[in-house]
Amino acid sequence: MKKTAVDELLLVNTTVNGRAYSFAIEPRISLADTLRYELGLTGTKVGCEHGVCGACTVLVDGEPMRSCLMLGVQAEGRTIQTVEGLASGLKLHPLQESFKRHHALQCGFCSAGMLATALALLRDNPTPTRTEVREIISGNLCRCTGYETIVDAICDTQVAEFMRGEQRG
Amino acid sequence: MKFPAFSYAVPATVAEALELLAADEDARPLAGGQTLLPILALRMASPGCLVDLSPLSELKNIVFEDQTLKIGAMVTFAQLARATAHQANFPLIYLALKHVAHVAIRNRGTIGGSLAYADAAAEMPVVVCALNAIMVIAGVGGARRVAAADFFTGHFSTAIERRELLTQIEFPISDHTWAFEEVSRRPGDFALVMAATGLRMRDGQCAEARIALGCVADRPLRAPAAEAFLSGKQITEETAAEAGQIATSDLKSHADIHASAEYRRKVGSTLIKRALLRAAVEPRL
Ligand SMILES: Cc1cc2nc3c(=O)[nH]c(=O)nc-3n(C[C@H](O)[C@H](O)[C@H](O)COP(=O)(O)OP(=O)(O)OC[C@H]3O[C@@H](n4cnc5c(N)ncnc54)[C@H](O)[C@@H]3O)c2cc1C
Ligand code: FES
Ligand code: FES
Repeated sequence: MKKTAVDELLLVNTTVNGRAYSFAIEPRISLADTLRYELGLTGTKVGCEHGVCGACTVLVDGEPMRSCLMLGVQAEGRTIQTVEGLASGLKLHPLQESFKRHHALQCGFCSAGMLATALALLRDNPTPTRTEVREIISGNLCRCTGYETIVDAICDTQVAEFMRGEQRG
Repeated sequence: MKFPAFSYAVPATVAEALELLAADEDARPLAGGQTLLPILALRMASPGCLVDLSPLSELKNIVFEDQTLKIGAMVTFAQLARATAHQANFPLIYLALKHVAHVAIRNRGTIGGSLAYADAAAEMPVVVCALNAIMVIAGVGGARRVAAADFFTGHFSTAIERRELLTQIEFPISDHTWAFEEVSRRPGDFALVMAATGLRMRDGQCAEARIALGCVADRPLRAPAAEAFLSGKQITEETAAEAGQIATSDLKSHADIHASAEYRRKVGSTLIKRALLRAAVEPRL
């Protein structure tokens, strides 16, 4: 059994975007704030801080989760992917390229969460229907685009082709 | 907002978790955190200590034995959906899970957390009522078993005492055909009204009907009068509509910013009818 007092720092070992990190934080700090302030990965956005907007969604062990509804200390031993981990060097991920091509973002505040949510869907199903896409992004709010272009970007054929190669077994 | 400060405990066993809860009046179990952490962020509560159940593998089992599906309290909605997608005997669980929250929430939220929180607008409470599930509740002194009918005691309140933990949910096998209907504003939103119905048919007539309603009262409800009415009858447009009427006519439903009481009664009645007609044409196992 391990019990930490209020304000006591806890050591966390985790992997983010393929890089191992080790740091000490208070248990009250969310994973979103841990990524942003402790690791400087500000691509993950924080909108509502209580689970409804989806802006903070990241991939934890490959599955989308709300980083505002996880504690930073719960990242212990996990593998996390944020929007910073999608591109290879200067080459954007095909889904990012597709968002660009289809004008699927304006301010970009929702994009990191949209990308994480969509990527997990596309890994299981590279050619989802528009209805399936709408359902899966129902937990991600965008205040700019009206969603149609986001659905276009996720249903893009070039993305489908790339994701078929990435499909999990 | 940011979470208020709390001390944080990571038990290695359920027994340790129970000790931690017993030792500290102000300690609360943390399951998937998909309700508790928003509550903290909204400062609706600030427990002094969070006891994190997530390392407890003993609460993550899914087993089928003695004609019963036994699900650990820390099984996430996503794991449960994967497990029941091919469990032909428990279609209702899978049908209802499709309506629970969004994918990111389903990847962390747990069946135990949902039942312990007992939101009247949540799906799992309706499912356990419809399937006559048993909740296994552990305390320092041992475990007790509580039937779904006695588990929910009001809005956000259940038979679980402060020092106790819900550890397992037991679903007895049922040979009914099932349907689940829900009205919500968008996919993944909390329900405005929902209905689960099960039918066991014999020679074209209803041998046993189960009807459970959610979000029409402070807890999930069964509709015994409507269930009895259907006994021995064929399931037709008329009998299904009549059952919906019987189940909802005396309901003292609640009104809130989402829906009036009248709306909930009417929609509840319609959803029961729809679900009965759908369950009636589901293939029998
Ligand atoms: C945006 C959003 C949309 C949602 N939509 C829906 C929806 O459509 N339908 C739905 O049903 N839910 C919905 N939810 C709620 C979600 O399902 C929660 O995950 C669930 O209600 C709680 O499960 P949890 O594991 O996250 O529990 P936690 O949040 O960790 O805990 C909830 C409460 O139960 C207590 N608790 C947890 N586990 C136990 C246990 N084993 N024994 C005793 N007490 C325990 C905790 O102390 C706490 O008080 C939504 C949540 C969000 C943020
Ligand atoms: S910031 Fe996490 S869901 Fe809105
Ligand atoms: S692009 Fe601005 S919120 Fe989606």
